[in-house]
Amino acid sequence: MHLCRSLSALLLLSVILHRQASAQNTIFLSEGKIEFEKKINLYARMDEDNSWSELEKKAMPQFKTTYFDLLFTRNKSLYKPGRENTDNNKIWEQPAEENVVYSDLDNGRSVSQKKIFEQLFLVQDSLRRIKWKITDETRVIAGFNCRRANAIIMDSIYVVAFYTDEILTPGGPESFTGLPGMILGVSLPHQHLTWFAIKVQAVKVADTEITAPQKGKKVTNPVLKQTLQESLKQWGKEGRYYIQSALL
Amino acid sequence: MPRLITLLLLGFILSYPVFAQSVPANQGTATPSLPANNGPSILIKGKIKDTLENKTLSNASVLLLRQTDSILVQYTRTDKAGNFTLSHIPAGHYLFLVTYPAYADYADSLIIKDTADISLPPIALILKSKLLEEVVVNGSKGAIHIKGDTVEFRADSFHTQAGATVEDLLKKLPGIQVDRNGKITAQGEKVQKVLVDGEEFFGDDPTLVTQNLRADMVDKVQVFDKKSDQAAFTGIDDGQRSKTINLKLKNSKKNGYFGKVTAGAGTDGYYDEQVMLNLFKNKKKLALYGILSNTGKTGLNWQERDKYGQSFSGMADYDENTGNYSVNVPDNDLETWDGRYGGQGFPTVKTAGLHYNDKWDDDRQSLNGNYKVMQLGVNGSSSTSSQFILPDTLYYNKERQTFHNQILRHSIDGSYEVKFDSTSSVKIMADGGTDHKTTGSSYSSQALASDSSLVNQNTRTVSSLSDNRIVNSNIMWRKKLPKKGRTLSVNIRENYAQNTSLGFLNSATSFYSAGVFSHDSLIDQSKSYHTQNTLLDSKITYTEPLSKTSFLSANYGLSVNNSSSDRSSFNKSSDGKYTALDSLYSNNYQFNIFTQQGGLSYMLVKKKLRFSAGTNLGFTSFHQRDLLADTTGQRKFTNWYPQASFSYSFTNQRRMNLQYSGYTNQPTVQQLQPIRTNEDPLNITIGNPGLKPQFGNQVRLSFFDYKVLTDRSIWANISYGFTQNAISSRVDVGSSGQRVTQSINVNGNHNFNANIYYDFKWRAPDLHIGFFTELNQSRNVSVVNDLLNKTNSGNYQFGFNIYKTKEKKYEINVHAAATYTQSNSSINTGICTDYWSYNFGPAMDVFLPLKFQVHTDFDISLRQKTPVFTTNNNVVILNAWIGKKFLKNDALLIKAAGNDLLNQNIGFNRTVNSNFISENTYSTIKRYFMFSIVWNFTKAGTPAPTNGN
Repeated sequence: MHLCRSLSALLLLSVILHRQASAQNTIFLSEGKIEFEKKINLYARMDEDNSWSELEKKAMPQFKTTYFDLLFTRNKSLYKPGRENTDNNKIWEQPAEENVVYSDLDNGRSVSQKKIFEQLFLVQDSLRRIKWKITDETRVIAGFNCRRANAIIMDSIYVVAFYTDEILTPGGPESFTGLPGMILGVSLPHQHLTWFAIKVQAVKVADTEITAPQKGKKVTNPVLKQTLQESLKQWGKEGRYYIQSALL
Repeated sequence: MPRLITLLLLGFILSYPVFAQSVPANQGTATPSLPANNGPSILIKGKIKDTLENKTLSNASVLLLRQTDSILVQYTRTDKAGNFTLSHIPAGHYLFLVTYPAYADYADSLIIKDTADISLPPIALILKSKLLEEVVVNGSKGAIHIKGDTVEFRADSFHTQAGATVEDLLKKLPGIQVDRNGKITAQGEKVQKVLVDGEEFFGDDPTLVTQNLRADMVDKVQVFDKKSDQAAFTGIDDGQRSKTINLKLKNSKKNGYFGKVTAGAGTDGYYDEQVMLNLFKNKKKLALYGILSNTGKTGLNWQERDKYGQSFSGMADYDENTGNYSVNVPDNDLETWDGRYGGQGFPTVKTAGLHYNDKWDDDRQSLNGNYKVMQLGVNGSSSTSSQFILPDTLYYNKERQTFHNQILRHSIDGSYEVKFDSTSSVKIMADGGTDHKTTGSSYSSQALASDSSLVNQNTRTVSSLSDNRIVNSNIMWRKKLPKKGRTLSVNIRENYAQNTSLGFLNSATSFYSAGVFSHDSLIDQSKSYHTQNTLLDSKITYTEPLSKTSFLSANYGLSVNNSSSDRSSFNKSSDGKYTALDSLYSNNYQFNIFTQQGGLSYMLVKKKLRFSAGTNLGFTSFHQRDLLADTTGQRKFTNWYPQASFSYSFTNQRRMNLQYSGYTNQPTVQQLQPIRTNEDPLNITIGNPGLKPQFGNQVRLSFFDYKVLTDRSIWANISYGFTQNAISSRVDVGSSGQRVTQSINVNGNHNFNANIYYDFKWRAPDLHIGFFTELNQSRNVSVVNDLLNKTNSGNYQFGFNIYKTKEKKYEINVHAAATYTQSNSSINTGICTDYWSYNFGPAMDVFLPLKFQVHTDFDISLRQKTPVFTTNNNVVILNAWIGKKFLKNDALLIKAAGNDLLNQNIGFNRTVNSNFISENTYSTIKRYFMFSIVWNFTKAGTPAPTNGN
């Protein structure tokens, strides 16, 4: 693994190299800030039989990239939109694309603020329970050795996640948690959607920096699902896609 | 390498279980307690230490997985002393896994019986670096030497079994190995990433996912060294490469045809026969159609076009600089959006069309072509009542017309686009066509003075035989330069149109003075017209990014627009032949415009805000030459083309937009040519060679708000426009009732428009309700009998729509609108035209059992009478049909329809402008019944399943 520590990370580089050299002094992170790169494959989502698709492709890149920051302490995390990508200014914004997610990992609660069309929702619910299947596959993400786990969420969505045990906080981007360490990579292969950490900073995070969002219409996930299904029932395939994205 | 050893080690300790299907829901997350299982549960205790130094390891991860499927049941971390505790463990077979950074994983199976807590002996982990020294790893063997950066394998060349996975395919490729854990080695190096069409492929877990990527879906396998993400991100090559495989998928296999046959026979000689067919093979599409009909159908409607003709999307283009889409619909007077004849009279059509398109070379090249032929005959009659308002008096005019027109049209168009690489492309478009037209009309008219005394009477026949030819072409080259946002494009356009016509005018007019016959005027002429227009236009555009969000764009172009119009009128000579040139109604004119134009514009594209502003400056010179009088003239104009727009998106569904544009319209050769046209001898037009370009300004503010979740929307627009040197008219009406019209430039024309649409869903009864209101006001300045005439017109409309649908049961739609129109002219303020008109249209579809469907719609128009419009024009049109669907997929429809059941339809038009008000009614299709059969057929090869949703 000393072969290819990606340099992208690290303020932490020296720490990690040190950690390599002397394993007994391994430093485990229990607070810090992670920058995630979220990528959507816009072309894959297009309807191949729609004659307008070819034209839409000219108007947008294959991948839409957005950035999110995840602030974490030992038992809490806050995921929120990060730096702006000006390439997206011409691309249509979709519902629930700029979520703020607060996770209380000890108590299994989460508060997510989601802008879905005209309505700002505040989803207060328990953390998503995911039945993770641990595998033996590993890869290095942002300088951290990660292990792969697979799961199915929301009855049908296949999730591939990579977590590191070098970070003690059992959190992750959006609603993905529940592995014995920090999730630094998530892919929903059939939704053509990925989140990968590109930078991990070992910075001090004050408790006051991680607070649940307050604004928005208070709902739970089942209520949100029902609301969206009622409103988008005549939207066909597009509507189902929006509902699915909003509930992730 | 270390990972390999980990695996080896794991392999020794246990082999990972074969994953099994479905799992009972019971999952431990984190250290907090597991939901209590029924029955006793167990506590596991242990300690983790380092083998070498015999030190305890804190923060080691301890995972308990279910043995059958590796689902994580519970996990914890060791404390400072290396101790851990897992509590509330239900009895069962488990896999016990310990991980620690830089140490090899420890795994063991663990059977828990519900009898006693377990205290494990201390577990010692081994540093991976230590392991490396002890295990000799075989180097890769049989490395194959491959040239170039990329090695590409064509998947079809390697035989795989039906249903084989991608891994099975990769195993067959030389230089590629796949181990039993799915790890891939290419050319001796471990493959870091597998991409599918550029997107990372993670490999599907067959126990979780049923959709899998199959070998037969792969077209090509490309193996290459990918630069590190860091290098790609910063642009600085750090020299790191990772072996990458990209799987290019095949285009979905499609091969088949579909089509539609309609046969309809009606009462009163009505018929409607249509055949449409679409043949497709992969990306090739060949479509054709034929229509024989006299019910108004003259071509494909927009839904049919997508399937059986040139789709609208195929005519559209996207401009990367402005972010705008544009649709280049060829200018065609006979082709309408709904594929139906829109004019007066009874149309009889025979038409056919052919469409072909194809894409190849990985979609880098595309070709598109169309051919159409149409023979359209239209016969009919119309009558017009008009009122001319003069300063001191007014005239009423009534005219009846019957007409017989025929046109034979051939048209062809095509486009070819080639993308040389990701940065440059060329698109070539061309179209051309011929029209052969014969027209014949006969008129009779009568003009009355305000006291109803006869002023004049006219009967005439006008016929012509004309041929048009057009050839248009356009070539566009676009190039993206290395700096992001820097682009260059060149566009060259050519238009050519030529018209030749030969016609005859035969007219007899009697003039009366104070109701008493005064004199006659007879015209018997032949007309020979020859007009031609050639346009050549070039434009080069360069865009330079000023920042990530702002751009400056410069353009420069030259344009030559040459027109000639040779119009000759001949009277009969003594030999009875039309050889004597009538110079009053003859002229040969050339009008050439040369324009040099350049400009700058600035554009800002932020997430919520967009702004652009700029102007072009054009130097235009007119060369006008009268060949008959042998005079020439040259005039020069400086024209501005300013544009500005500002838009703000409060959210995706709420936007406002403010736009300004200034534009110049050049006069046409018909407006300039100093010739009198006497096709209607009581309505003569004269050209004006001194006409200047008009400059219009339009400001528009619009607002749009759509609430998706509550289904409520608001559209609102306000626009205001004013024109300098507006091309208007000067009208002289003599005491004989004869009008002479000439185009002149005026100032003071302006228009104002405001509208608002409000739609919402009334949730409880599930009704969609919409209200709308629209307001139009305009002022037109003209000169009437040497007096400046300002006409103020207004048009105010409001109405509503109600829509309700119940899937597979019924659909009801009601719309209603009321319109108030008023107009008055400054030359005679005593006369004010104002009237109301109402429109009401309920429609209903009911879906009955046994695949019966009943449709009915009303269109009720009520129009108030005025002093001019004295006839009753209230019309109730009722259409209805009943149909039944048969066969699989409802492929066959049998339908009986009644058109205009009450036999009330009339063609109708009211025009209120300046000092001229008229009402036109014309013959149109009325009541008939038709029985028709529609058969949809299809044979399509099953497309290969695609990866993903």
